[in-house]
Amino acid sequence: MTISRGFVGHHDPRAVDLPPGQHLTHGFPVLTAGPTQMIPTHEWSFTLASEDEVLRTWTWDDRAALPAEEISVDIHCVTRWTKLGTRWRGVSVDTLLAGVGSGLGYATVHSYGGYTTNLAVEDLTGGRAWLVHEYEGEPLEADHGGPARLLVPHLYLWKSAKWANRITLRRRDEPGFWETFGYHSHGDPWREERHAGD
Amino acid sequence: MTDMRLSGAAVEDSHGTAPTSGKRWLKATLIGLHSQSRHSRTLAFRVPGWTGHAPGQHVDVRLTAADGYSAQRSYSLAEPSTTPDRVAITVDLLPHGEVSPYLVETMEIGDELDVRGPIGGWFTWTPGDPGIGPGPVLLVAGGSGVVPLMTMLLARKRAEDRTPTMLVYSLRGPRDLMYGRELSEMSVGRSGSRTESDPEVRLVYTRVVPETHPRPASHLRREDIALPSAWPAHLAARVFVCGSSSFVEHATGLLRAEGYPDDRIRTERFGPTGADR
Repeated sequence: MTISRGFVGHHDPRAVDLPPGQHLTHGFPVLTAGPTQMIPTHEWSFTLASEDEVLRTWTWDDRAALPAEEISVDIHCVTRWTKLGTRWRGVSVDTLLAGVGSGLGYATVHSYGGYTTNLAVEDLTGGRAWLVHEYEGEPLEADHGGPARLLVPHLYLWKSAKWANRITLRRRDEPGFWETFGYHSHGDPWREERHAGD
Repeated sequence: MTDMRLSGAAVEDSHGTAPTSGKRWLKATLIGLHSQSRHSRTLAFRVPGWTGHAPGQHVDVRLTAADGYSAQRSYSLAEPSTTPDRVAITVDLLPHGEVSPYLVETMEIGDELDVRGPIGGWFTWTPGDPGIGPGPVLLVAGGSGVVPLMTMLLARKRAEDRTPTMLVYSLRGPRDLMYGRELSEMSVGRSGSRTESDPEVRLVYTRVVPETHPRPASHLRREDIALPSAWPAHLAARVFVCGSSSFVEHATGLLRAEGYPDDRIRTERFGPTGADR
């Protein structure tokens, strides 16, 4: 093997296409609209509701009793970094919504600290979204959204609400936190839906 | 050309006539450099043990960092095989690429890397190829896809082959022109005016057009790929198309509209970038 003087490389042997305007990162940048929320698991709960009523509530132990899945995905932040092959463990949103059958097409995901983001229910279901509590085999740290966050890897990461504690199902799409500041309502990185009107 | 994704056909086909040095990596020392455009250059290497290649074939390039990390890419060979132990590639810079910035901006004479090849045998044209007969041959290039087609033209010229040949070269603007000197020499000929044995060269500028150029800027159109009306055949016996995936899709659509059956069209695509057409 011949050493090429001055060659460093990206040290990622996988040749991959990135969404437009994205570049690879090997760290895991922390980007949050507000301060990190510190939620002890014995105080944590998660609620599924419609605009009219609470449908279900889970404590941490209730959540731990639900079937969990291993998830290995690339994640894309609107601030233009992409991280490849991240590994998570969590409960599919399909499991949380099972049997609800509300017919409501939209959702607002709420977080401890007041953050919200809006998604179509079809982006939350069909094996495309999870409530995750482990990252790379370890309990999810608070700065990355622990004890549990949403993970919707096919959309920009601002949709993957940290410290998620509630899903409210809605009839109409209501902009969340970043969406009211001009971010795109859908947020597909492959279509580069960064800002409203993209 | 840019970092390439080889088509299955290019790898699997075994019609290639050039001998192969197989799967062995050979040490290559950079002995020659010249710029092609603002963002591309040709690198020539001395490679003891290289056994030659056919125009249109590729070479695998392997770079290894001091810590042992290595990256590989495949590039079209940029010169016909004439001098023993010599390999040349023309590399277009991908700004966020891993390998092309090293080859286009960092590597200096005397630096080394490993090569393996030649590779491929489908997308090749050696003068006298019986499958092509009297021709004509149509070469359609998008951006740095001109590299293997230029190697074919250089081989044709060296062999004094007279197969009627047209190169249609689609590029964004004059700054992106590769092989400008060779192309202008070819299209005017040694005597200063084009003769029948010289290839027809058409430049298709898609965004920025030089002042004296007769064709307005636009993407490749059907009339661009129509053979000169004075030529005996309406369709070429063989068409080679090389460019980005979107360019190749566009060009093959035009070729089909022009009446080409698929078995006359050979294509090669590269990725991941390159939307010029």
